[in-house]
Amino acid sequence: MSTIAPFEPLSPEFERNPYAEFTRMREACRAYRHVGTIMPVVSFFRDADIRTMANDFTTWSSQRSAEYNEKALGDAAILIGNDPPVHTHYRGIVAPLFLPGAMNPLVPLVEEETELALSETVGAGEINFVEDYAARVTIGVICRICGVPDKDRSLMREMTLDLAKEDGRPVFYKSPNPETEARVGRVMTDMTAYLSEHIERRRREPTGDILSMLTARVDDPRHLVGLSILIIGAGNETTTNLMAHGLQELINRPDQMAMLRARPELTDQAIEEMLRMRGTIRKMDRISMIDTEIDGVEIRRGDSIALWNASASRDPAAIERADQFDITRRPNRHLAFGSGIHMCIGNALARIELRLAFRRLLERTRTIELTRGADSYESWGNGVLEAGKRLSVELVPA
Amino acid sequence: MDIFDMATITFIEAEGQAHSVEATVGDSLMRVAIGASVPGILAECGGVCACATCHVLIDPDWAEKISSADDFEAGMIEGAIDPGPNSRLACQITVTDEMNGMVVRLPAAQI
Repeated sequence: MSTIAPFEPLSPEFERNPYAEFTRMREACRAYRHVGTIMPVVSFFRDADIRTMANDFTTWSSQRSAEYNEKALGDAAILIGNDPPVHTHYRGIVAPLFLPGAMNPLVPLVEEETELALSETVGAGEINFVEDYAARVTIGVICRICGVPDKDRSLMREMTLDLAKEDGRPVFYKSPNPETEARVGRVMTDMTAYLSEHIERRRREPTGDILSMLTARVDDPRHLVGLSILIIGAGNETTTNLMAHGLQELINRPDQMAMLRARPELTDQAIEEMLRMRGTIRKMDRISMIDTEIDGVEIRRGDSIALWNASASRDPAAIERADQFDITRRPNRHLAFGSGIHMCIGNALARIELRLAFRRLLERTRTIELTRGADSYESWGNGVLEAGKRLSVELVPA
Repeated sequence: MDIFDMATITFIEAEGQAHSVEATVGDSLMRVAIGASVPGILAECGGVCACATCHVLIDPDWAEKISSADDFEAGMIEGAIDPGPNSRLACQITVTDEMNGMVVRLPAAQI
């Protein structure tokens, strides 16, 4: 095992070409023990392993200690830092609000937000697609379904972006990072304060939005805030980035762009392929509940486990021509939303937003051009999140 | 393999495309469909009854041959798109040899 060159997901080199690193690691091993990290952590890269492990929460748990949940996840730990029975209880409350049948009636609302974003960007010269179109749609939608006032949209964007910056990284820290932890803590405090007030208003005057419904079903104010942070936080950065990177894939492959323009009925399949190739969240965290050995790597109870779902989604053992962006791929077995009881419950909302955002965008434009050549894209990817800061394009009207 | 360990199940997509699949008794209907690359089933959660994206419609003639949905599954089915009286989640149906010849229809959309 010692012959494998170090895998360093927090390094700038990794972020420059993560998928080449995933290929190297998938080919080199099933399990890789990180070197020099404060927490003992083992990474997995292959589709078969990750599917199996994500579906076995009794062995590969999301249940952290109360202390860790308090420190690292805050109130948001209520779903992502727990397993059954606590997780079952809260998922049972949240899931019905986000299942496909509940999301489909939101199509007109998503269409309205998409139209607004289009009206501000098509024919407007150079735009930053990430902020001016993608985030415009996703923040607009999540704020409306949560009843957050229009005037606070940019504040929500700012806070959730701040929270996302460090998302997924702490498990790989090689030295303590108190300044970053303090910064994240401050954002969490601000967001908690904002949402506590917002929830209190909803409790007094329910409006039928998702947070009003949650308020009626969850008594503990901290749990309510935690669930709200999860919903708003998870509901924009992920979809915003996917939208931008999906467009980037289409621009990079003019044949696929032309096919999608000619055959809009392929939109859903194109979105699945974007999710597979450029899913925003590359890794899922678990804790080992057992002492075991996998592929010569000793794993001890309590070790952190990193499941690289973005690697699994390009595993040639599971997917033919795995590195090829092909919008006709069907079925498309990716792991962009994870799997098992912690699978992303916002997947239906994300798919509806992406479907409408791309369908309308291509209808309204004749062509979409990069405006700064090779410098049109700027990433803020942090190793764990596939994240775009800027995608400079011009949306040329049809 | 003993012939009694298998059942032929036909999945019909909303547009009419049929897929006849040899299913192993004891597998979930969702696994059977995914294993045979039948399009139209997402099964996002991998079979833990958490996403309502393996929604299928059991032909009425066959409905009585399979166990009925428990309360948890029934709750999830309500979260699928346009559920009907024959709606089930494929991950919650275990294939038995009595299902040989069963017809399962897929909805127009999971999401």
